[in-house]
Amino acid sequence: MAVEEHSAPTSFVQKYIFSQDHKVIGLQYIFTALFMAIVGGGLAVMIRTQITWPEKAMVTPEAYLSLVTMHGTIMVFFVVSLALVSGFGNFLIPLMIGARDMAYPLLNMLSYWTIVPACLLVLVSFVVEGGAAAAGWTAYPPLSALPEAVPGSGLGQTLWLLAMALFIVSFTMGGLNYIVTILNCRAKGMSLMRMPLTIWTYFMSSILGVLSFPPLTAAAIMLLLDRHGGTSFFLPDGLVFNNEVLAHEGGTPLLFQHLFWFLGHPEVYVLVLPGIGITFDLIATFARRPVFGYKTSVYALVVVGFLSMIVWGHHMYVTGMNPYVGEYFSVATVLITAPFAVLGMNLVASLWRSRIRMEVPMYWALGTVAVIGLGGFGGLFLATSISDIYFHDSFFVVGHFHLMIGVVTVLSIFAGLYHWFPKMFGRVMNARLGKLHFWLTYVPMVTLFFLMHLQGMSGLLRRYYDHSIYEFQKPGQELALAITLLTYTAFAAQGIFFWNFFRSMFSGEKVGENPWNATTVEWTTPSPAGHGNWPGALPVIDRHPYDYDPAAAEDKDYNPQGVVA
Amino acid sequence: MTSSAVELPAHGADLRPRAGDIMCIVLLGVVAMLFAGFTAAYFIRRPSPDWVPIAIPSWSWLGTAALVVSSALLEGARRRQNRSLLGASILLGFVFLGSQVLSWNELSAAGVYLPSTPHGSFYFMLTAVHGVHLLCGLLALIYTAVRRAEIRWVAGYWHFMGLIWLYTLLLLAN
Repeated sequence: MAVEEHSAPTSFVQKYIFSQDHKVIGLQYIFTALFMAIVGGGLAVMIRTQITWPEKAMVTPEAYLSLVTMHGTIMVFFVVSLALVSGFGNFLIPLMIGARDMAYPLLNMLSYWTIVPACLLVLVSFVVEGGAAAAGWTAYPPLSALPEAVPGSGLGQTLWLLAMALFIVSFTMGGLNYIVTILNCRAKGMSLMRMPLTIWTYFMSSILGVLSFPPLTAAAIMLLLDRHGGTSFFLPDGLVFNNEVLAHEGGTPLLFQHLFWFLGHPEVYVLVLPGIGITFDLIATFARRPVFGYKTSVYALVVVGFLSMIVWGHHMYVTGMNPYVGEYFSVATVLITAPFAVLGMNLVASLWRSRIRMEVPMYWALGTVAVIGLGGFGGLFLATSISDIYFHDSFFVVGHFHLMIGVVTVLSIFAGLYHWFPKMFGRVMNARLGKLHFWLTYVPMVTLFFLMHLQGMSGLLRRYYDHSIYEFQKPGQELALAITLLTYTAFAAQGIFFWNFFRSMFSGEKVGENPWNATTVEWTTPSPAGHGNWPGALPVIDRHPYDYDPAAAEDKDYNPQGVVA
Repeated sequence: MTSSAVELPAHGADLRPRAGDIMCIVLLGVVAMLFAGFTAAYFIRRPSPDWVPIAIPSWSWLGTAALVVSSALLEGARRRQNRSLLGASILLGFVFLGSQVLSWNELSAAGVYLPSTPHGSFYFMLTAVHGVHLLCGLLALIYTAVRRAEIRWVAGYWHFMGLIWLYTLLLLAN
């Protein structure tokens, strides 16, 4: 039950715009994220076009830096965070724990309406003087701290910082709301160990988010003061600009990197964990058996969350840190493979001797499992400081993190959309188009990011405007055309998704409350669920979330978690 | 597997921690992490040769006393549900903010501005960040007084802001 009650909306504005209903807010986030994804994806296409045909000079070098920066910023914070964490989190948490709404619906609405101006600032920054921010999505000083450094360091960088500040405020409000809702608003009988793994991952992800974003806020405040207040938190002695020595002295740019990555690394897990949670739930549903090792998965999630907060230094091996410190970060990072292997094994073992139903969401879920393995494997080379010193800032890194926070998250977002679409709109999406969309997205994306690993091994460096002028980067350039064509394919394939998504919203096949014969409690309410989620009393939870019986006859092999009175 | 429906757990929904308690604790965790970030920055920045220490302005000590008394009064207000103690506590909160502004004047009169020395930069920045959080607490206190809402959580926040201030002062003075 929501802590603050709110009555059913009466007007269009209350229902669809300034809504306090978690389902509407969740969809608002998802639609916002889908729009931003088109922008971010468009930027990726432009980046690939430029570095494949550098002689055509499609954009200027300064604008190219803006493209790279804004692609990363938009994709991490305004697409994946918004869709997977804010979007699905809002939509699913109350439904999957048997609550009427989030604990604080008004706070929830404020959280969404804080992100809207942030998105607008990001979009506007492309057309201000000097263009959008160009210091990378990591915004390292001194490039980000000196307004006169490059064109994008001017107003564009200021808008970037403001947008990030709004994002952090919004995300923190959301995280607080998630934690309170999960701890306080569960239906009767929904003990913590009966929560679906999706909810566990949102719980861990929220804790990581609220604890790791504040130090970045501290860094952003200091960066703003360095930019506009004349302070020298991050700006060192002897910076020469336009043949003049700047007045700043004594600051340390490395400090910013530490504060940034203290957020930046846990942020990866903030994004990836919900993807894994969704995958667990879908695997159980379409493999028709309980997930293997539910408890060990929960414990593994907690361990992953803890470890993710003490390994940020592995992004900074080449900063000249003490080798013993580097060794610590290496060992701690490699330790994450242990709980992660537990999660991966449990995902795979859940399929053992099961009767898999290859419905569209299952394609995406199985794809996610495969990429978790493939992407994680590349991570080993980057976790080890010795090999990372070679791979640092190469396309190996680009390929690796795209597989993890790009492909894993995007696949699980699509998995979630195809799976919960009936709960959102009371209809299903077209299966043939869904499978076509899957193959045309999955194969190109995984292949192109895998090829980027090879480019990185050959020494191709990231963020370069024109690789062709360096002799040592020529071998890596050979794969560029193939990667670019795969990028175009994957980007164009999203047209199939948008067509299917919007057409199915209005004319897809209508389905009942539980089209997948799933067991989690959100499937016991009508599709789409109305105000307050359950028309009558709230369900009472009497069993664990994955009560499938592989031995029973089809259509009789599941027992929903909730009993609706 | 079909027989896995077991007895409901003994603990009912009513024994769960109150939503406000969870909210309050997690929010305090967020603020604590913010100041932890600043603390890390402080210790990394301090060994630099351009670090010229500044004297803590005397107005700050007056403000500190006001804040401590304010917390004590608020605790009394919470325990006895006494509204006039709450009013006094709010007043002392404003005294604290006023004395912080005067401490800034004191520093700038002595020629210490935001960019002058890193120690001064930290003083201005940390007092400002703490001041903003304290101001939010003051607004919450005023809301509590006007709407006669429960004092429990806002008191928790206020005490914590007092602790954060003592911590910040200790950090800056050392």
